[in-house]
Amino acid sequence: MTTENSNNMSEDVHQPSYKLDFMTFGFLLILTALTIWASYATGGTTVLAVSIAMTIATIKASLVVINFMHLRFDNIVYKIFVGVVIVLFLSFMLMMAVDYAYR
Amino acid sequence: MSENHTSNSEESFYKSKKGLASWIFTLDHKRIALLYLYSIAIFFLVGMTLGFIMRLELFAPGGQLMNPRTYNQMFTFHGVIMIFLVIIPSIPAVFGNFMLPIMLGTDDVALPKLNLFSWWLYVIGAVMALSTLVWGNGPADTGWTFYAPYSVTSDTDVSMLLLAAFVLGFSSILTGLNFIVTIHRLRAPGMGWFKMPLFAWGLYATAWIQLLATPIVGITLLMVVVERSFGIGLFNPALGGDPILYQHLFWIYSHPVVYVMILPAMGIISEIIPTSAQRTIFGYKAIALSSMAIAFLGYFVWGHHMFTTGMSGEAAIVFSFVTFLVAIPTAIKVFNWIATLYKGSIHITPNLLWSVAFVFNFLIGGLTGLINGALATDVHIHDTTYIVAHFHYTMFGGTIFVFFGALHYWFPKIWGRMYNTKLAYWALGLVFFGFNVMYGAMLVVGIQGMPRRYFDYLPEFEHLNKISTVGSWFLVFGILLMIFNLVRSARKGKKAPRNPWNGVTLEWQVPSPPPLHNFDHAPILSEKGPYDFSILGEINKYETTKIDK
Amino acid sequence: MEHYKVPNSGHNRDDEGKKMGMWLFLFTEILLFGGLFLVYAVYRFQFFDQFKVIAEHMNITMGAINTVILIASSLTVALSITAMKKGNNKLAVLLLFMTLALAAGFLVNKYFEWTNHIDHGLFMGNDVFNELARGEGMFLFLYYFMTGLHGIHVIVGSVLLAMVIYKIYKGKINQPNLVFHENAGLYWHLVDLIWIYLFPLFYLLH
Repeated sequence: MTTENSNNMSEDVHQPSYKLDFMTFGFLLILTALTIWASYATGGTTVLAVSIAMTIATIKASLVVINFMHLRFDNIVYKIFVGVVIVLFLSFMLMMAVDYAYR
Repeated sequence: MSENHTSNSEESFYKSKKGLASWIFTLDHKRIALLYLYSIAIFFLVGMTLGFIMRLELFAPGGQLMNPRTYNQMFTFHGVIMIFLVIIPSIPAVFGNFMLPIMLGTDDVALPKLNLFSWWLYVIGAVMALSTLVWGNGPADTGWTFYAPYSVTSDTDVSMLLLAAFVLGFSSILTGLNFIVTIHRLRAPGMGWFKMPLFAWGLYATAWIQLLATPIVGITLLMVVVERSFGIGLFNPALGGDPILYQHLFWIYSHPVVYVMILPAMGIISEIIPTSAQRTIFGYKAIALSSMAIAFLGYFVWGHHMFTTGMSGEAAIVFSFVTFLVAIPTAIKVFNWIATLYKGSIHITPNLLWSVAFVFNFLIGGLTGLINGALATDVHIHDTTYIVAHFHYTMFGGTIFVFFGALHYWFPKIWGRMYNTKLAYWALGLVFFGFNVMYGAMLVVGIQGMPRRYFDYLPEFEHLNKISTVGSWFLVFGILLMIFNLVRSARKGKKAPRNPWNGVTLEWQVPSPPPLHNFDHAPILSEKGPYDFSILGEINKYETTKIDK
Repeated sequence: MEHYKVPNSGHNRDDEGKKMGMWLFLFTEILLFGGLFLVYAVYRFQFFDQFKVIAEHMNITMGAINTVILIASSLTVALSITAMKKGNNKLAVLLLFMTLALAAGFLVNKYFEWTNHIDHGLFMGNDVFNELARGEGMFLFLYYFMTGLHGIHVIVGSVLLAMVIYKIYKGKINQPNLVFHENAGLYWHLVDLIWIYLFPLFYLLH
């Protein structure tokens, strides 16, 4: 039985392809090299090193979620879900930071 | 499921299959709901007995029945049973499982096998928790919060209880996951988001909390287990750890979880009140969205459990402020319920009176909560029996009262029989009176300075403690009377019609008790939303059961 | 009265519902690790210098190799799903076997890393470990806990992928009934996702 996938129309246009998979892989390799290089280049500066590493990691994670996990082909509701989870986790971090930063 | 039932589709789900295996391996949401109900009822009685004995111990100062260590173990076990085995699964797993698919106009939850698996996880977790009573170094004495560093150093069997809570947490997660998928995927054709019954909205908000908050406490409890095994000071200040970090992680889950307990209860109130007033609910969208707002805000208030721990003052102010914000969506609900009753044609039933008793108790629970949420007053009442009483006003006077009310509301639907109304009123009266005497006295003695979790107390607290203990006798007697009435009526009560309260949500359109596939005709949906009483006549014409008066 | 069958039955085949269930489950996995990341963040903040000192023991090359292995395994899984969608079952199975080989490589690598640390006495209860500063012990403990939990996920993911291979052989997975394959793939990508954060947090502190 077919499911009432509201995506049916758009799925014919945007299909997962080998090309997309390989391109994502390529970017992930480049970013891995970049983050290793950046960790040496920043040479142990505190805030900067951590923020660069986390930014690169987040870009890599987004690539995996959007391309490998096919979020780009998914219904809008999945995108909202992912957004909510990210906002929630960042808020936990923020609220705890308010405690630790001022203690 | 199996197609060979098509010939006798009118047969109730009790009769579709027989034998123990047909119950404990069933994929039918109604049977799973009853499995949960019976297990929860057993644990409720155990937890109640523990509470009753603790109250007896506090009848007079000094040791009466037990030594202090036993007392500590008792309140720990009372807490763990009541929180993890009773209240968290109570309404979602019992009434959510039974009613949600019917209310949405479908025949089961979206993932029936996962639903059965959740119940099995619940049973495994329960057995793990109970096993600490029998072997090991005795049940934990840390309190249900497992605060570090004591939970790391206590020589009792804390690890097993922590692992039990971890497993129970996953049971709760999977139930929530199932409900979200069910609500997204299985609503009846024509039932949009804002045409769902409000109980479904309550469950939806709850499910998101279960899904996203529970894993954090799961991993935290696991960290304590590993810490105990390897002697690492993750949360132990003697070894460089930070015990307040444990409290942060614990309350990131354990505050939202009180909304897991209360939101479905509020959803049920939003069902009972329109049915009892025979008119549409006032402010449908406001109630639906306030559930989501409570669920969302509930994630950011956990720090109000920690005002006196040495958390930074800035953080305390933020947490206190957000805590007060929660009062807004909560008040929206209460005002809307009262507005629904206003000028309605009210039918007094036991289930309505349980709901009104809930609103009364929850009002006290909510208002006392504002005193805890304010920084200055919290310092005074922190760790007193005032907190215990506040918590029981919201959780017992709130959630469990609604659970009892829901039992009376859906009893004819679940068992197909009516209960003795007169006995039901008596039981309600006794429970309501006993509850308020017991916890009212605890509120007052807490303000006077009686600490919580103490086995002994100063002579000046004796008077109020005696009153509280006497209240517990009425309370327990009332609960036993209610259980007696319901158990007897489930077997011997007179046959119930399809729609005894003249409700219009979909569960009243199926036979009592429902057949395996729930619906014997296409569900009737009103264009105007779930509480449109103008379609009552159309619904009631499907009545086929002969009722002997 | 006649038997009525609801159109939106919970026993209908609903691939979209199963996929949604998997996504929701992945959220709980993310927050499960999220709790650990919160602990890591707090102690990194508190013991910033000690974390740096002890991280000297981490082998960046090994970590980088494992990162590449996991990314490559993510690629092969994604390719296998693409291949299945195009109807090329043989290629898909081959790619899945490659994924399993990469997963095994990751675990072997991890095993050598752990045993190397343990041989140097850097494990809970060892004398060397007990003489470390508190923040250093905390770092190692979190390292073992987080990579260990991640390793368990690698094993679970491999079992799921092995089941996919079996089901393809049995003909239970074929276009367009790919939901089990896709869900196992989603799980595998999550394993990769978590490692993407673990790598800089444990290896790149200098």
